[in-house]
Amino acid sequence: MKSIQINIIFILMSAPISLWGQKPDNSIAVLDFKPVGIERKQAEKITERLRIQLNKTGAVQQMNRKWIYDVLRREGIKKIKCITPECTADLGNTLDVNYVVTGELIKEGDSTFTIDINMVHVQSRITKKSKRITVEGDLGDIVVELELLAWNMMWLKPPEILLAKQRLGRHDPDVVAMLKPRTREDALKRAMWFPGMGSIYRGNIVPGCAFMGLELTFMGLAINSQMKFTDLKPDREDNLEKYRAATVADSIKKYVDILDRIDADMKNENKNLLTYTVSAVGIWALSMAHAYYAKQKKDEFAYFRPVRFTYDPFTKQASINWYFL
Amino acid sequence: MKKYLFFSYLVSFLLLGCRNDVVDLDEELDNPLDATQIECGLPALAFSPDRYDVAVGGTFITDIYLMDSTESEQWYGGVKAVVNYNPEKLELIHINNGDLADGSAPLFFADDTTVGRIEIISIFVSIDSSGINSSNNILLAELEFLSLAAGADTLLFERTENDSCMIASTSCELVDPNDQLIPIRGYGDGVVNAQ
Repeated sequence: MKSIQINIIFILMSAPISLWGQKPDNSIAVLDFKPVGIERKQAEKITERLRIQLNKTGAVQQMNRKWIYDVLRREGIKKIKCITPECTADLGNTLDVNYVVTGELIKEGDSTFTIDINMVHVQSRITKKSKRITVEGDLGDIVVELELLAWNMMWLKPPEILLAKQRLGRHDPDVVAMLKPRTREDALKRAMWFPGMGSIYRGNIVPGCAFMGLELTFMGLAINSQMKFTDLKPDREDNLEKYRAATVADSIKKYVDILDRIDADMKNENKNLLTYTVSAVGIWALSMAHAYYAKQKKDEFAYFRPVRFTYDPFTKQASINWYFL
Repeated sequence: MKKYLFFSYLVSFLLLGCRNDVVDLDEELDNPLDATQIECGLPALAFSPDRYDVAVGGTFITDIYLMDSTESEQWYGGVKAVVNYNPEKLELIHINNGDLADGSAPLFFADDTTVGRIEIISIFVSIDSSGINSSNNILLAELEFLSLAAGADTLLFERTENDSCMIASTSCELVDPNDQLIPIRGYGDGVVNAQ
């Protein structure tokens, strides 16, 4: 989630730059890794982490998953069963990209995984990178390896934090110290600036977006009410003037009726304005409280689970295991 | 802590700031010819406008109206309106006939021989001796005054009140086409502020 959030912020921040900036020359499509012994959903999420890390390298233009599978579906390709580089290159031609990455995630044992990854150059139809890595640990460790691999595939030096994660382990105090802790106080500060920002900062994307959406809605409604109120004001003044100038009883009565209606509308809009404003402030306060008190949602692969429910595909046995750091 | 305090102020400011002050409409409905503004009921004699802010040495025009309810079926034959004012502060310059004594031979009299007192008589004349309905306010007369001295003065319909709505005696009269007296329930006096 952290990476997704970082990615969102990255995209938002880089949007204006990318309008004028130069895009990387090469494009790359990462196909979902084939899961063996692990859930397909988990394999998809892990693949997504590779895509995100490839984006971070800035060396290639990474095509997003939705776009890739939309194009393939449109071309009538429903199942991808590519083994050879030629077949992968054909897919790359269909997608009109320079590189295609395919791979497999294999669960060898309880805490042994193998990543088999191939990067094929579409034009030359040859495999430019091929790696088979065995990882001892959990899915979080696979993610670390894949993140390193992303830089490696681009012939770039990985960031220090990734190297430290690999060398010392994700839970090493030095590594943890390198990662800036997302404190409650920082989250509160962000929530003060705009509702939802604090929650998103703490990894609670859904509530954060909900706070933002609600706040924008209430602010929009409040502005709308204020505009309606402002529009009614000159109308009221105009009719009040006519009322004061009127000498015929029927006209006076007519203007009183009009003024009564306008006054009721204005009072209604004023009431709405107050309701929406109070709601907006309430959402703001709730968002602050949520940012401060809600539990931080950590990266699902990045935190350690001491008790795990596991399934061994080879022995076809389910079990509950305890792990100690 | 300062930041939190600042934020609390900001929230309070938002709460207080996001409201509009709406003046109560009843306070703004101040047309003296509005039947709902006449406290003691109808029919009534009223000045319109009922407030004048004038400069000393300046002139202003005020109208006297006969008011009745829009649903009224009462017919009127004539009106006598007596207005008192402070001659040290105001001077009557001119009186014009209104709409009640209309036609080619209007019966309209204005007597201002007594200082500070104007007596206006307006009679509706018709061939069939019918009267005039006042459901839409009838202009009796138009008066023009000159302001002589600074201060406040009241253009007062001559009457004695027991309390605000109980009229003990009045020189003003309202009659139907058969010359029968109709009680005038309300009076809307005018206030002049000269500076």
